[in-house]
Amino acid sequence: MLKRFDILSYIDNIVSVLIDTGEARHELSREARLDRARHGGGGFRRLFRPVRPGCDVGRPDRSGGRRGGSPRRLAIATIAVAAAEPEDARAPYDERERLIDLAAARAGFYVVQAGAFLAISALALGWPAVSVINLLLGAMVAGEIAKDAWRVATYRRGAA
Amino acid sequence: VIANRIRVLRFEHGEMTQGDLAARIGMTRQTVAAIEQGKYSPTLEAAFRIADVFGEPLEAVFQWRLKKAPND
Repeated sequence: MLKRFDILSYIDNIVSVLIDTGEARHELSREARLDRARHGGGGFRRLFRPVRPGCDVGRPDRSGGRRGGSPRRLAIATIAVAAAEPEDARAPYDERERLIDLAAARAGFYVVQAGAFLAISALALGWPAVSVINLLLGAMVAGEIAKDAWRVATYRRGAA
Repeated sequence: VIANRIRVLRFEHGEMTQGDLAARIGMTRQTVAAIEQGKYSPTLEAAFRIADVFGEPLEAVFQWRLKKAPND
């Protein structure tokens, strides 16, 4: 059966990726706008250009100390689920589950591979670097979803 | 296909539950259920462990049966 720990670590991964993506998009778009205003240029090289002294590209912290709220809630939810889970969910992995995991990882790998190919194609077609990075992150998230969907489907079917 | 007599043997051994059998062979209850229903073929090691729990030879627990072709 699908381990609760896996579901929670999966949710944790998704949340981290979404937070990082959102912040990266904000920073990059802000930096890009400042860069364009100052130098009139764009392109891939702007991502690697050092920030000049006195150039404020950072986002002010308006969270008021609430930024740690989400991980705290996740930790509480993890403890609650762990306390409520049945014995089955805490059982060690066996041979059938290892086989299911291998097959699921293979399914997820194909999705990530397709996403990476799309991202490389998009880069070759002149898409902005931020979009390509988002495409790659999206492929990774889609790969994780495909992996878990495969596992759930296999467990539902009862076979390996 | 690999057929088995696990359900009968469980019943004969004090109505052992799938969970009990799973705990004794170091597997999950779901895997035992899948083996019992013929949806999953266990490894040789797992098959020997199951046979050992029931104190029976391997062939008394698992049998290989040829699947008949539709036009036979």
